[in-house]
Amino acid sequence: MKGFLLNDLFSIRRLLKSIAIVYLVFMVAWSAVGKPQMPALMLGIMSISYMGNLFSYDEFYHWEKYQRVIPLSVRQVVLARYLSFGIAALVTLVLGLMYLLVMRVPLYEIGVILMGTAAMQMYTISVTVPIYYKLGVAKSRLIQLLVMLIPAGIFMGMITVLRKEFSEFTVGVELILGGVFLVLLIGILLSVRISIRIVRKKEV
Amino acid sequence: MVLQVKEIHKQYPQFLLDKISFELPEGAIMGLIGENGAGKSTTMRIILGMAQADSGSVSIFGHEGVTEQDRAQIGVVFDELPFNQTLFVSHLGKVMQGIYPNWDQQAYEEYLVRFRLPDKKELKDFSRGMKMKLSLAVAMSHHARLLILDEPTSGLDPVVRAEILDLFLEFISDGKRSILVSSHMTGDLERIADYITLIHQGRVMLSKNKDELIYGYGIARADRQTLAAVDSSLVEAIQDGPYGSQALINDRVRFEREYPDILLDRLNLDEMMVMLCRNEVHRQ
Repeated sequence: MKGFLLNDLFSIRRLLKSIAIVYLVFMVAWSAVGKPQMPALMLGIMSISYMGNLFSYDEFYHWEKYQRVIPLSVRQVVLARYLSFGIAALVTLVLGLMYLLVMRVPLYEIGVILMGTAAMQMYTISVTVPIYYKLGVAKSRLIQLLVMLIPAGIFMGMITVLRKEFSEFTVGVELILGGVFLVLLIGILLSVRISIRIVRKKEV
Repeated sequence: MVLQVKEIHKQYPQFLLDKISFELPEGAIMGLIGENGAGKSTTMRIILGMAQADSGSVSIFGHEGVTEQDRAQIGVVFDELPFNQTLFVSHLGKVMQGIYPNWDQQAYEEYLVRFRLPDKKELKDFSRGMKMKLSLAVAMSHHARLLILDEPTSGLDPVVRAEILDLFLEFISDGKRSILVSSHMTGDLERIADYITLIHQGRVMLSKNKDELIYGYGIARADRQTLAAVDSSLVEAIQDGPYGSQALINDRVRFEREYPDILLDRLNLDEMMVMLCRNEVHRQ
């Protein structure tokens, strides 16, 4: 698995530089207009686009063929890919947290923003990864866009409601959030199972 | 046997791989030859578990199927470089170190020096020959017992091809390691292969020891009537040409003894493949 994670990291090392520049520009722009929560959300979205790029590299450079002849099971190969996305999501959340702390955003709001972002990432990964494995990059891009519009709307709404209706994490809010994340976690586990099944059946 | 392929059958909507069988012993090189689309790559994909056969079996290292432990002992080279080409060779070494349990970084670095593969260029800037050498370096740096190579010498200049063929001979020199290689370069296979398997339209047309083919087979040239009178058990194929006919003979010694008046020439794998494949087309 370590080799796979390294391969993913080396593959996107160039892309990371350009993403960092674009991100810095947006960060300054959003901060200037008084919406410091937006860059944190954008980081989350960027981590999702990372997913498409990796699948695209795999296809373009025939790495998906090579994955089938190495001494790793399909399960390990698929898990490594989810782990790679998980790490990317975590890194963006940590960066988002650092940025929000620097911008002196209230702690409650930081929590809401980061949880909204994490929920969006989990939903998108669980829905789109099996689609990438099944349909390939070209067909999946459009579907990913459609799939992302739904959670983006839902989680933006969630953030808005939480910010307007509450000012701290009450027991009720925590229960709701716990339920949401439990469902999302189950979604990820189901997604991994489905992806493994798709890859096992897929001929390359 | 390192590799045993038994009656592999695979039906695609427009292609049938029909009961493919052959065996590769230890310390030997087998060349898979055939036209484009004959089924060579599909056979290799089934052997490697990249596609599933409808029936039949593949045994590697003495047992049926290919396990993850087996894959650690198989080196694979595709006709295209299967690695992200924005990487450097040092990146690739680190990636493979994390994938193959018996990865030998020192061997890899020695191959890089031997093949003059620089670490200052991204893989996309390598020539086709360099990319192929890199694929081979990776395939041979984890102590593989079996190499499976799909068209490794196509598109390469004669110097690089010769270098690669020498490497194959070196690889099997300990008598324990084997190579299955598909190629259109029948001249290359004549030089290095111990066994030849010809696949045509999804079927094995012959699978034999190379010397048996090169020294045992011959091409008889005469008019059609004369060749038609030859014992049919000696004739694999007959073809008519503008200056007479020619027949592919499967037993030179017997033919020369029984038909001393008919001209019999040696032939190479290329001519043999063309005659067998064309004959098959005519039969249909």
